[in-house]
Amino acid sequence: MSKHVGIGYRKDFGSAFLESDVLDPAFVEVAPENWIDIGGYWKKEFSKVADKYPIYTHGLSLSIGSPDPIDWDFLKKIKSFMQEWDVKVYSEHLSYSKCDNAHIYDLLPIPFREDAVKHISKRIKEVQDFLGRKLVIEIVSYYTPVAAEMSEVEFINSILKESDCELLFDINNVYVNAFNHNYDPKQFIEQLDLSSVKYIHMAGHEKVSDDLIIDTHGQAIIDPVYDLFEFAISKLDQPVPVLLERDFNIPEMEELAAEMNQLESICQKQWNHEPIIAH
Amino acid sequence: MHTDTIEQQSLLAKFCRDGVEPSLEGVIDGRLHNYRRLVFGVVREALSSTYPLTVNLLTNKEWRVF
Repeated sequence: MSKHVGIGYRKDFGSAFLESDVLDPAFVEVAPENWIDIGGYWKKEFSKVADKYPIYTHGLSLSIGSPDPIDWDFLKKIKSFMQEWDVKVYSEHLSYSKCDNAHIYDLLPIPFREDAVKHISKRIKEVQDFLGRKLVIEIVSYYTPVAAEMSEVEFINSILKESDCELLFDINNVYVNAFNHNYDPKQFIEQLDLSSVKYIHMAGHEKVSDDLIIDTHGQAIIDPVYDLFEFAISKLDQPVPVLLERDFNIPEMEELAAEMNQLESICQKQWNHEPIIAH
Repeated sequence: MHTDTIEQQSLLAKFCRDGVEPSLEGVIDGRLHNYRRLVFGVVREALSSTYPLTVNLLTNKEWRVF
């Protein structure tokens, strides 16, 4: 069994996930929006998964960076989902996906501005008060800045400081952003407030042109991202859970297991002591 | 938030829906269309997985008309 590494649980896995022992993650992550209000067969399957593994969640619809008001009815459902399934982590994206009362179904880049920092920090605190736990907020990939007045790392650090939330450190996104915006990912990591890191995501991506990578989660993790992962976790004070994300072109479980093993071996090398996965 | 920040966010979101090139500050040339393309892909995927029989019955050209 993996000590540190979890996997995104998907309906694509079917019953094979529980019936075979090819994948034996430390935890599973789900998008709560895909499982709220389910019943029947999939509820039974989810219940078996939740009995066997700790559940982490990674939301898609909170839209914390939106000018629109927070959808409290939606958050009530998130809260009861977390209670029902004893969810350990609620993570979300530092982006917006809803605007002018329309869901856009993608993660749009927030202007890196002081007024956005204030707006988002206030909303994160409100969400944390409502849920009674800290929000774990992810560094997202972006393909262009919009109306920026500060750097990306200043923006992220300011929100971490003002909102007292935790950080979902997506190493692939740091790699993608560094490539797309021509900066040094290691320097970015050294400037980031790493004391807030609660959780790590790792994934593959697709290079679509000489100067652009799209964050697809549809390929295997590439070696430079493994290298950046090792560099990043060597900077952390303590172990944190690590997730392998794969959303498209789902391969055979053996291939996913090989990626999880590679991540786990790097964790073991850097963190040669007991894991702190919440059970 | 300031009105200008809200307007910039609204313009980007609107562009994803209507494809009319917005006047946004400080964007990289040629990158914005990726957002509209990705949103379109999500909607198309949601429709085709919801209506698999319709997708099968129509030709690719007919399906794209939608």
